[in-house]
Amino acid sequence: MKREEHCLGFYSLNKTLDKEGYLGALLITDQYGRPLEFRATHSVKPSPFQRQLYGEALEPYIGVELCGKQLVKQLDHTLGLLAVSVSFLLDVRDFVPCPVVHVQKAGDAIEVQRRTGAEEGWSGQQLASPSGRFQPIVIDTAREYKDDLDRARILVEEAFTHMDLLEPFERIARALEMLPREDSRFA
Amino acid sequence: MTPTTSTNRKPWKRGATRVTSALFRLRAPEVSKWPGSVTFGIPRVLFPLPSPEVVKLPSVTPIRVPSVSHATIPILAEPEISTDLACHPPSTLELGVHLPPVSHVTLPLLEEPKITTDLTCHPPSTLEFGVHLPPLALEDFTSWLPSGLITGPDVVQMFEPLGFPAAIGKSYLERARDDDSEAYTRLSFLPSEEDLTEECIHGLPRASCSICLGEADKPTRRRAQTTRQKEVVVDPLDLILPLLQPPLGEDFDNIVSFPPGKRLLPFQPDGVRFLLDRTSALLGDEMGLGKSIQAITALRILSRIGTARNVLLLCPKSVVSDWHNKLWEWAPELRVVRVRAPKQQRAVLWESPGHIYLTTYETLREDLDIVNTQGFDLCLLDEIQRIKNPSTGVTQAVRRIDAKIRWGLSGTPLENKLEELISIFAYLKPGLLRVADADRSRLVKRLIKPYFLRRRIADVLDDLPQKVSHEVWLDLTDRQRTSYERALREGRTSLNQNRTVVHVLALIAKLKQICNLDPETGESAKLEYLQEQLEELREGGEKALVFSQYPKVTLEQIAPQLEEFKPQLYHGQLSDKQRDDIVREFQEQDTSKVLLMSVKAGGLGLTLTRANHVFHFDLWWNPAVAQQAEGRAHRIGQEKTVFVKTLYTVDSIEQRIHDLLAEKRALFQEVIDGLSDDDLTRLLTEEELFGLFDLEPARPTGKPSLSQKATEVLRSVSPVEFEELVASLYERMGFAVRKTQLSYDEGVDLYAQRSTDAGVEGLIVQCKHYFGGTVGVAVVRELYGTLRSKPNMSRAVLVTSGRFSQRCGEFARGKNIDLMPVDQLLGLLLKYDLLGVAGG
Repeated sequence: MKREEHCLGFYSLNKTLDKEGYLGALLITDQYGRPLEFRATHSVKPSPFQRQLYGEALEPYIGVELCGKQLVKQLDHTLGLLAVSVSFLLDVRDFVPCPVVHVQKAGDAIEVQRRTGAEEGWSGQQLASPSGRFQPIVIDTAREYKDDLDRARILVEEAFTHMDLLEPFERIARALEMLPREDSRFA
Repeated sequence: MTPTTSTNRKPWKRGATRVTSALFRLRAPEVSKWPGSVTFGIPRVLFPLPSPEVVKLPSVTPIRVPSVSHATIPILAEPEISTDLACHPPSTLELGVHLPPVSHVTLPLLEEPKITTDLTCHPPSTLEFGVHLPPLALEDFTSWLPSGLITGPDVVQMFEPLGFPAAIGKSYLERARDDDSEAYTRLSFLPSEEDLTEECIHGLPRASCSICLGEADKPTRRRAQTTRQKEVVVDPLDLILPLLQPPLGEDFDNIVSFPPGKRLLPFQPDGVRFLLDRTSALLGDEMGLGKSIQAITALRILSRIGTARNVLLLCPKSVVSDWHNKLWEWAPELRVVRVRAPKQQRAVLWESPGHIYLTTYETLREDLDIVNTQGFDLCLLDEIQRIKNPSTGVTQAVRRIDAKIRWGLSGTPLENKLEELISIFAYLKPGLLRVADADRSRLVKRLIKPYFLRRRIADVLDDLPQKVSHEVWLDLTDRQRTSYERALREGRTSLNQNRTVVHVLALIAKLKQICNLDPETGESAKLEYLQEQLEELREGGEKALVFSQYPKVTLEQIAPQLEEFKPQLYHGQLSDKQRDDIVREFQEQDTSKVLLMSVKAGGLGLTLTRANHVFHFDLWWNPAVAQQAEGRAHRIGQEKTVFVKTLYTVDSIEQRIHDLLAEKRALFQEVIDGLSDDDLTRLLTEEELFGLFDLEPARPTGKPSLSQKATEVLRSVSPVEFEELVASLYERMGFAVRKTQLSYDEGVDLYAQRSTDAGVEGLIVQCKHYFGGTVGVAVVRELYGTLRSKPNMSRAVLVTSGRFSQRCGEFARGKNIDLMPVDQLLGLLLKYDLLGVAGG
């Protein structure tokens, strides 16, 4: 198997330290979680007027159109799988050729389903780590790409043997806490 | 709109209301999913145009604008643009417009309100209106108002969409073309089952043997040593690299978390956890159990979770390079700033971004005025007994470092030295112990117990392999470096004239001996290190063997320096009885702690199992030779783990050969009989041997050699061009060069300057283009006088395209004057390809 097929991407949309803006960040690792590449956007800070006008579409727009699209375009590595931290980021699937999955803790996913009622068309799959070292997760794909789910599950299970697929998002968050100290454009 | 006015009079004739403002309420539109623009429904309104007489309106009155056919209003002057605009969330927009007084205006037929598009909002809260109004006449403003539409402004811009942010990033590993690149190898090595179980020729699991896996370290160590002080601007993405690393695992068993060949021994995770669980900790494992490795692993973990972003690491001067290499080997993702330079440069280094600031206790004491004592998350003190005396400057300096986490390492058994413990814990855990507790040993031991972990070799014997090998890389002392460089220059010159393998081997031996010991002063970085190690061993009641290839030049010279350890010297000149007596005394008595041995002198049957520490004072070409030497201690009857340390010096012939031989490990599978340096000729080609000195082997006559071509080029240049060549040469050697004017400047043609670890090196250079000629001693005398008149210059260099008389060499010796004759000059010019003859 080509090395590229083992590259995993982890994409999240984080808030800036002052909570007024957003940062997109994409970490590429090998199947063992070792970092191969890291890309992040400068902060996007909508004005109050823009927040009003965009409304609920603000975060999806920033996360997918403004940040996600250009981050994936700048990658040096070819992705085998891209994991996102929130479901509205699944729409980056339009810009990448690999499966995109929303990963969450199994307990969180079930809780959301319980509180909101079963979402029509939601087809999340619960997966346990083959090595038993990590807590179970639930993965889901974009509605328009339900066919990706089977292919994604194979890749996820392979990676899930060696690494906790939620842990890289914590690394991203820590890295984004430190970056503003070195470069104010991330503040 | 429903204005309030009087209807009994024509407002513009008398008592008309002056309209100074009108207020419009607009409903904000609903926004689609991906708004590129927003559409507002806004009526086109005509501003109320006041008559010369004032028409009064409430200052803030909601006005609903009905559809009208026409209306005539007094002349309208250009209205002012209102700036008092605010958006009231959630759904209305109020516009206040201030208008000047006008006479009358005539309005055209009023149209249906149009929907304005392309509205953008200039943040944060202002709206701009462009207003275009033709002259108008309005007869009855009052009657018009309820029924009239007022032409309003064309909104030219209301909304600005969010822009695309810039993105930055970094690929941390080279890609497909360099699948076996160092960085990828270092960071991506996955040991196979075979590597983890099969033993190499050194008796260790192949995946753990640092000698076998040294290939990946070869050029990276050199890069770490030579470029560290030039890097000041650091990519922020390198600084966050530790945060992007995977966790080490609960039991540090994540196979990808350690670089190639690096694994913790079974007892070491406990030491790592001991450190991680404490903001104050003293790790006092016996020598050889890997205190530094445990500390480095703990640092990696804290770096990854962001707890230790800035670490100060203090150590003795002799082991700075060793720490630097260990950090490179065990924590390649951490950026180490080695603060060892002249003070002016150190000020820059302290400010340079990094994860770990590595320096000596003495340097910290000197730099207290420029160090941010509050700027470190963690302070790690190696050989923490250096602060055992509370009154020394070093101790006072360390106590100024206000780090949240404070760890100390020491192999010296401290538990019975209460005064020292009190001083040490005065920094590690202020307030824990008092000076008055010095005679209350039980109390002290009870109080420090939660913060002190010490394991002896005997405690963890089951977890130790039979033999543990380490490479120790040391910096030459200043005097050694001076002697080394001089010998190298002279040697190269000699090789130019006598280019034979024999001469190469002789030069190698000479340089190796200088790496052991400076011939003039006896200074030795290796000896300093050895003394510190033996002191620790003595405290632990252990013994050591020290091997060298040079019994007379090295072992006999260092023996007096080790007198406190009662060394015994074992070499070929001893009689059989003398040798037997030495061995018996060493094995059976405790008097002598160290045996200095020449490997040639010992036979394979020699048993010295009383020692479990082996030091190779100089480099063995053939690891089988090293194994045989170690076999004196590591053999049947040995009850302890044997710790082997091989001492190397960085940036020296030892490093060059070590790196070169690392590529030829396959040749070492076969044991080579004979233990002389001639072995090297079987392992390296002639090109490789001469290449150690950037020379070519002598060629048979017929085809012009590179040096012959270079000679012809040098012969043909003018004196000015010769000076230019020499200037270029020094620039390529890392100097900043300034040429003097053509007029007489005390004989100085060039000033050259560069920064080194020892300080700023300033040279005055005189060029004598005497091709085929000989420079006499008078020139050297004159240059010496010039050097003495310039106290800020370190040395003088006299460069010639000819030769020097013998008296020149005699005069120059010991006066900080270097003579560079044509052979040496040609060698350097060829090395830096300044003559344009390469490849010919």
